[in-house]
Amino acid sequence: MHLDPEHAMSINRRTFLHKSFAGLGGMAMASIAGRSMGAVATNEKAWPGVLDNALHHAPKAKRVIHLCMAGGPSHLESFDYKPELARMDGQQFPESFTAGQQLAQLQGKQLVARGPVTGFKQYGDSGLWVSDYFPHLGEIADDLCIIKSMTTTQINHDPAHAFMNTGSIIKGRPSMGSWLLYGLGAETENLPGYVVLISKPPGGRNPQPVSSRQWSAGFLPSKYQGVQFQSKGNAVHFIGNPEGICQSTQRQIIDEVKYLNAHKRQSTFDPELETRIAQYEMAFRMQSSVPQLTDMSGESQDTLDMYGVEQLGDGSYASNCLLARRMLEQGVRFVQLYHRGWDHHGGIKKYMEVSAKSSDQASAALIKDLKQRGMLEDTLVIWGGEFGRTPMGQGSGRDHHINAFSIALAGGGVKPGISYGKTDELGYGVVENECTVHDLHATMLHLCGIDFARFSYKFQGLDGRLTGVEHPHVVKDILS
Amino acid sequence: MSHPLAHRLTLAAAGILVIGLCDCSKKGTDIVEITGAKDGESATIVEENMPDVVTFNAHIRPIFSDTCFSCHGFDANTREANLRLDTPEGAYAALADNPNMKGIVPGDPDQSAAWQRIITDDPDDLMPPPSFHKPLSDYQKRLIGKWIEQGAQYQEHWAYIPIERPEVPKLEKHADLVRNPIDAFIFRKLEQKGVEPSPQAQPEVLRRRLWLDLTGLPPASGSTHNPSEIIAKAMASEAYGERMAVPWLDVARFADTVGYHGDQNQRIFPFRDYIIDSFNSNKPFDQFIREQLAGDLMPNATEEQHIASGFNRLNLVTREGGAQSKEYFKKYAADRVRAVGAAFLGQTTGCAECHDHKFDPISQKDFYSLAAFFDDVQQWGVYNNYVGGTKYNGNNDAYTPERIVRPDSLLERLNLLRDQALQELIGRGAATPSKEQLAQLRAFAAKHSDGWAPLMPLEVQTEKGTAHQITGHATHFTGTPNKGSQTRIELALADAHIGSLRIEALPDPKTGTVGRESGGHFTLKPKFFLQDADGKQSPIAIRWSQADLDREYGFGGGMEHGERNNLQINPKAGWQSAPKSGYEGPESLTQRTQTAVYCLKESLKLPRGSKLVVELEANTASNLRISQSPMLDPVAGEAAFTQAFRQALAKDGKSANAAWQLCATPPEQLPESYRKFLDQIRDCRSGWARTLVTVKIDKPEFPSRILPRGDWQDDSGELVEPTVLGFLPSDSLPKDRKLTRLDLANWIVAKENPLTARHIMNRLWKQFMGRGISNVLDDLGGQGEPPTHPELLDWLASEFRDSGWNMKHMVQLIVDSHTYRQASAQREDLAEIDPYNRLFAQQGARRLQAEFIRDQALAVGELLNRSYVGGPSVRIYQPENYYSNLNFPVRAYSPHMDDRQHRRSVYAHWQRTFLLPTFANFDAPARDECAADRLQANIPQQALTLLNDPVYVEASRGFAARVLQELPDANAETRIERMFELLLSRAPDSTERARILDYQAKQQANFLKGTADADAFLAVGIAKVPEGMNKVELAAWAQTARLLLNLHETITRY
Repeated sequence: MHLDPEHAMSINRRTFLHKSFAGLGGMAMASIAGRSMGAVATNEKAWPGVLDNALHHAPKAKRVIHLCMAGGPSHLESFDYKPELARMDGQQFPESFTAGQQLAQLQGKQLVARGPVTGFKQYGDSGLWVSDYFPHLGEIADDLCIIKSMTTTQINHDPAHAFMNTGSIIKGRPSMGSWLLYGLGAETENLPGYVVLISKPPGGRNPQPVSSRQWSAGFLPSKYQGVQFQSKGNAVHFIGNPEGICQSTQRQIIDEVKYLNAHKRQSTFDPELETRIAQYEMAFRMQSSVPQLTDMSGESQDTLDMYGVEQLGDGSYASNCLLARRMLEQGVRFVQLYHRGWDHHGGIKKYMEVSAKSSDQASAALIKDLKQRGMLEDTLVIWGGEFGRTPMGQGSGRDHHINAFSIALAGGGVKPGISYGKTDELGYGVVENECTVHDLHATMLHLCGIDFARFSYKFQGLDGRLTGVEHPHVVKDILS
Repeated sequence: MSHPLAHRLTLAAAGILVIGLCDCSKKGTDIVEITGAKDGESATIVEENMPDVVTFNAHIRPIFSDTCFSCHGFDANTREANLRLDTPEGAYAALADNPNMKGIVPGDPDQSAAWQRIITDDPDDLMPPPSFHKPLSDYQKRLIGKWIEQGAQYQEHWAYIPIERPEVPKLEKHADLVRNPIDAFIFRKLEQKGVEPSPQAQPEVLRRRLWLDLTGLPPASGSTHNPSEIIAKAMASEAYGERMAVPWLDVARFADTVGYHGDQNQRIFPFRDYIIDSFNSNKPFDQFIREQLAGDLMPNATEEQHIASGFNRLNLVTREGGAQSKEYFKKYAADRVRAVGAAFLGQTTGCAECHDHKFDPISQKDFYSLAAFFDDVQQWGVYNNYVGGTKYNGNNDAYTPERIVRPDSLLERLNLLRDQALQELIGRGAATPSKEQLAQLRAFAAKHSDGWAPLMPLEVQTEKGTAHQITGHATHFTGTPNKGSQTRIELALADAHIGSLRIEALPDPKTGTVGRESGGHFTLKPKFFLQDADGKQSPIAIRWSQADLDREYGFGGGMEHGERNNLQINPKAGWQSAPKSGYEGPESLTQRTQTAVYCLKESLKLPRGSKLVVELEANTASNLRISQSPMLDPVAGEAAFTQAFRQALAKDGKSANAAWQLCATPPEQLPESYRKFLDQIRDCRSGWARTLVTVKIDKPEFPSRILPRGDWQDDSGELVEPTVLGFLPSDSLPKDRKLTRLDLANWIVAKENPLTARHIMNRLWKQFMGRGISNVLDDLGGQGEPPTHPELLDWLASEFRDSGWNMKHMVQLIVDSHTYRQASAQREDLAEIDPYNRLFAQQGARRLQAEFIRDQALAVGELLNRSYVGGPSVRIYQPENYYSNLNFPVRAYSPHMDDRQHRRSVYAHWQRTFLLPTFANFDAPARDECAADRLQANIPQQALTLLNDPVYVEASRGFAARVLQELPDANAETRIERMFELLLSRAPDSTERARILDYQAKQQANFLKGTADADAFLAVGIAKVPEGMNKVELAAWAQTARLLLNLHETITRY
């Protein structure tokens, strides 16, 4: 038996109506139907979650923001300092590391070690190493938790993104944002519960495509899909009224649709009618609130300077970070920022500088801003790509690398100012505390109050899980 | 007792609704048999709901499968304590660690170790273990106990039992309502449950239901209310195939793009034509399945069968740099195994990629043995030339192999466009030829009705001595071609203006091929000269050249107009005969005439006594015939003068003038509106299209082997032979040779296969009744759902099979039944006792699918373009910049701003990584994977789409204009009634009438205040606003139409 909880709830609503109908007589029905806002609709949470009031344990994180550095940023030029690799620069890469391992574009090529193309410094009380490309993140190193022992199984962008987002390479699986929204719902009443923003740096390397399936709800009902906010035109598809229709005229049609739908209810037992009425109201609220959200003119110049926003709403990563903070404030459960252009097969020195510059300040500003607003403690920030890059050079760049990469976490119940896991002296493989993508997902769910093993959805007869069929582990050592 | 919270969560997460169902269970519907009762209920309730006889398939298997089989099931690698509970032998056997105890002792729970572990209080012993998070409810435990008491009889899984035609039950009540055996099965169960069937729906409701279900379109105005007549008419309409194709295209994962990474365009629309045509011609469904899996292997495979085999090529493929061929071959193989399981068998075969199936008897070896059937499918692992020299010619190549075919739909479209282009010029009436000019053209047409005058060769010279001979109008070349051989042909010209020249490469009567290169190919690089009476040669300037068949260069890769770049004959290499060997087929094209046209820069008047000289810089053709035409832009391989052209030419005035214009005025000087048609005509490539097909190869690069844990880099597993699922009968298969894809296809539809007919019928039932008989559509295995009406499903399956897999027969049976015709959403009692309509005591109300919501709106707005069936995909409206995050290449989406915009939704361009928001919002799948079912969500984006997507604004205007034009003098009330009739097939009630009248008046007042608003509102979309209409009135009525298009009833079929 496979029921959409949404449907289930609407049945309950209908049953409730029937009961009150019987109790109060036709008058009650008429008055409910006659109101411009259906009474049933307004009393409900816009985004209920199946785990509402039933979390597996007390959550540390109430919302999550994933700063996805799409293309695979180099761990060797960000957080994983490898002086031995610098020493070996230009020498043949030891075969003991690479024999029998999967390579991407370096297949069949001679493998030569490439030292980090930038310097590293230790920052703050924690003494975390951060490369010179990321001075702003360096400044807040004491708030960061760096995992240096990430691994993935997918060496190409498309499947690697799918794996990072859904825990599976089979298409049609829900993304982690959809899972969270399904489980936790969202606090917002008039915005989508899961939002996606995309940017790319000007002058960056020709970026990899990003597919909308990365924020698909997969086999979960489509209400849990991520909603992409566009950087140009209407922020959300079909959010603007048709030409020539002002907001009050639009309100008239919506009211009338709702009235007539409610009227239909008198002669029809169709539970979907209730939901439909509620969705029209929600649609109207979205039409009003999305423009308010994206109008950032009220943000102070100091704030803009902190994020490095040059022009508000220009679709830059900095502008998106600021917009994301506003969404988090309004109760959006999961925000995902894709920042494209990290696929540095060539020209890593130049392009790393471009990419890092466009990400560093705004990412750090977001964390600082959340902190100063008291939101960092229950907001989990994840910064990282779908894989890392080879310690071997590829032309003037580095190839895809799945055996080790780094990500940065902050807030949301994660220990600040620590580094977790270790790679070998060349940054090729993990030698201590491997953290798989499934481990990361399990940990994220744990921080949100969810036991991954008990969080599933029946699909094709199976208990579909974000964390797959294997048994991952929650990375306890990084929990605060 | 387990932790109550944990239990509730498991149920919630599994999507199982518990609250509210206890009511139903009291009345004894199926619900309780399927889901079990809720936790914490009293012993009385458990007992009250307990069936008298507990059976394995209906009651126990679902519980065991969900809670026991992952450790005590088919997969030996994960089997605990060596106890298996999925077979009686396993369950009744002595325990490995305690030979005195048995897992289950029939009739004796106390002696059954399994039972003791289920009821123990000791958490260390409890089964399922608490850490499994699937505690059994009291009700489930009691079921298991009672089943053991009653003898613990196992049954073979219902879906694996051979299909036998059950007896049609005899009824005590309602025999008079029975229209066919379907009703007898449904009513029988209703009798048992004490539930009454619903009466037939109101005629107007049934009329709309039938048309929407059978064609995806609303009933035509004024059409019959007689159900039998509607059924006959709807099923005979071409719209039937367009509607039936949609769910199958989900299953076949049909899309216009490759899906991975850059998600470039692939070419396969003829496959969609095939699906639509197959439903319309009622192709026997077993044949339909065979052709898709193995059309290419069928004896004397027809063109259509080759096209059908594109099914095997619809998996996602990649062009990403750095991807490894072998890895992707394995991904493609796994996709095909999943697709075969989901599309035909209703089995989740994908689960066995890394390990034996936990719930169904599918081994890992089965998975790879199924994959092995497809080892012969020619494909490239990675379609780029970055890595590994994959015999691929770079990113400019298409997704080979492809087949060059000539679909009827494209020819129809081509002819339509040529007529429309002419009509466009006739409509403008700008040309004014002299009488002599017209007379000259008519004289030519009288002599050469197809518009081509073949030219007589006078003298032929060849360098390096290529043998040649003039036969009639053709020049015949023989012998081995010499590199760089120059050929010069002098020809007599017909006495007329020349607009274009044509070269036909004819097959050599002896070799049978058009060329003298290997494979029968040719290359031609012609230059044309006019030679005057004095022998002076002057070059003829060519503006455009195109061949009906040639070797493609530069695949567009997803650029919107990328392919237009290679429509012209390759300027560097010259005209090379099709196909491109090794990349596309069929090779037999070299045995048919291939034709090129060379369009002159401007119409050329001939000085007296002049001749045509054709110099061929390269010539490896066999047999050439050259013709001239006054037409400036003829279509290669087609008549230069179409029938419409000849008729126009014969008719004085604007018609003849326009015909003359096509011969006199180069397109640059013709209006833009004409040139748009010309572009589209050229895009049709003379009606030839390339389509992905299956081509068989003998030696796969990476033959299937068992991949330990699914790891593609691990070659330690054994190589496997193609084998069908081992646990199912396969008596009809040959035993003495290696099996082929055709054997697989034959087995899927073989009489002994218990799954296919059940699976197809279960899906068909859901299509018309809203729920499956087994409601997990893609899994008829152990984790699926036992059917609510097993006998009905078996009856449908056997009827389907015994009728020769006659799909129309089955559709007809279902929609003709009383069960189908019942009223929906009218009974309060059913909302209580059977909210999910599992008893089918009523018809299920259902939201229309994405495509049909749009089609319906366009239809009532009289915008729907149904001028031909099938054809290339069309680009409908989509928000700007929607593809801005695609790359390789960067893409902009430009919607078709012509009559393609309003074609039916089944033809919309399907971009896998960015599916059209207007469809995605209504739950259309991306078609990355085989999708046997669509979810139905009810989300705010649907409201936003219906309110604001330009197509619905435009359709509202069309709908309003239609009604205003039909009823120019009627009052508002009459118009509202008309709108209701057209859209909802019913009259408004008094409340609706009053409210809408009021609303309409309000809109009129709004627009009167700001007429600029009316102008802006009416300007949405490309459809023309009818002239002479009061804009304020039209806008106000369009707002009214928009209101109606947004009603829940509009997008629901009751």
